[in-house]
Amino acid sequence: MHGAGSTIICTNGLTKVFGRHKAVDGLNLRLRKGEIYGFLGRNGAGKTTTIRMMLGLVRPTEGHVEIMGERVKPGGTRTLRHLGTLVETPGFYPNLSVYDNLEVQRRLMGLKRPAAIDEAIELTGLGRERGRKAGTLSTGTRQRLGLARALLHKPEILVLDEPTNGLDPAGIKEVRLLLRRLVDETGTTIFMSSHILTEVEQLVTRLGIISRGRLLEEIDYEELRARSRAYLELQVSDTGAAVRILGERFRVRDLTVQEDGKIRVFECLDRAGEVNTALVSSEIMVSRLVFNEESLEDHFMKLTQEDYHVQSASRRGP
Amino acid sequence: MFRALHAEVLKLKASPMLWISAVGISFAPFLNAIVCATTASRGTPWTWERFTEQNVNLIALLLGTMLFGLLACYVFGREFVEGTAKHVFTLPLTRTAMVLAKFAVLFVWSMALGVVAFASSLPLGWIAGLGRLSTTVAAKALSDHLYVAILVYLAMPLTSLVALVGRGYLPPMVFAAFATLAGVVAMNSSKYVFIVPWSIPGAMVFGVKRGLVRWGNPLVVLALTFIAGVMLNIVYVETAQVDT
Repeated sequence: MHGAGSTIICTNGLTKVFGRHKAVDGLNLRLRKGEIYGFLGRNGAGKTTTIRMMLGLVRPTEGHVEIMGERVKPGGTRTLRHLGTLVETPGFYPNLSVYDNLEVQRRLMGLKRPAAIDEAIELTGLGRERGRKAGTLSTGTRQRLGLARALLHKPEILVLDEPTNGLDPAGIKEVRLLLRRLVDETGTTIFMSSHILTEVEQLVTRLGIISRGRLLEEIDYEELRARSRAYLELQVSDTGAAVRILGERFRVRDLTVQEDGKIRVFECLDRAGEVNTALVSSEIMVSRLVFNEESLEDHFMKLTQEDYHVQSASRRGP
Repeated sequence: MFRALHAEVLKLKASPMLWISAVGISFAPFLNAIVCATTASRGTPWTWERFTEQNVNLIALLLGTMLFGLLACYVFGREFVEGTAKHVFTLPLTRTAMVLAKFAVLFVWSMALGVVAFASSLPLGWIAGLGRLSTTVAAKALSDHLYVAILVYLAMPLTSLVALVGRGYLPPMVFAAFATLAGVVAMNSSKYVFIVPWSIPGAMVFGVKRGLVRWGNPLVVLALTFIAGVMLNIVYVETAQVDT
């Protein structure tokens, strides 16, 4: 039995090497029943390769994937019945209509009810396109059709690789609401990869951040929010002088200077007025002073940049 | 298996390849009708038997391997070309069933093309001035067309394997052209007929009749080629990775 909160997908030391390139490196993921897991990473981080290994499309070099306690093997079918999948840009039979493409899926899945197609079409808002040939559909509509196909048999787990690729903002919002509804109404578990942070931020309950094939962090979204740090952001005419004044007069040690020259101060948040006065009296022009919170984007950038620096340093050697 | 077969049939709905293949196979009687009309005007008229024989020879020697190869590369290669492989391989259906369903569809399609070749030869033969066709000759002509379609079909698994390994249309098409050429060359020597499967349909309908080849052995080679070819297709698909 797989009750709420139990591990439904896990990867153990999952590794994939293509020639000399390690695309995925010892990945240990845990996906729990009923959660929406956001798998975040830059382009080329190893998201799609991980998903392909999960689905048995690619054989791991090392490690393995388990879905509902059963090991995934390329060509194996036992675990696949629980899944609805969308891998990258979905492919369809261009000579067939939207309806017929779903009919192919219905037949392959052995579903008895033809009404399942109408339900999937309605759910994904494809009503007007049902008779259109798949070869004539826009990228966004193809993405919807991919979702309709993944949802057709009402799977327990949805594995979606960049599900909002090619969708306009309204379409992205619709997909987000649709996925949220699926989780709320049917308890569907969702594993979705993305490189669009705002999309993930508004949907997921748990996050995995991958960079260069390695899982940098796996965290509950609520925990991340609780951990998010507030800061003062300053834009000044002389960054170096401002940092010196902050250190000398306010004993500030916890600050960062961004690439665009902005200073983020994580201490003295209640002394913003004094900081402003001190800088101005030292003839440093303050063009911006705002109170902010570290966003998922900040967190993501920090993690992946740190990883980049660590990797670069280890390549250079001692 | 039945689910996969059902889906394979639906995949061909409204496919332009259905018409392209029908027009392609009709090219044999069309070409022969021109030759027939030309020779008749020189005072050496053909009979329906000769017309049928020429159609079957043309399909067995040249047209069949190329055209049926095109069907094989469409049925097997399209999952990669149209990007559906990464989806169908994640369905709870064995990959072996998918391969067998494709071979079943290819068989029915090949038989249908045999019928189309026969059916299109009727008006073309009549236009070429062949006159009345008896039921006996018509029945023999139909069975000859179906026979050659089966023979050419049996040599197809290697082309479908190239479509799978090459993951597209171009490699199997080049291979089908090569197979056609190799078949024609090997036909000239009964020694090589046995090692070039694509020459066997020609050998069977052309060489056996003229006593150049013994009936039994090439058929055994062709059957073994088919069985081994299908097994190679299954092994490849069962172990294939979809990483692009």
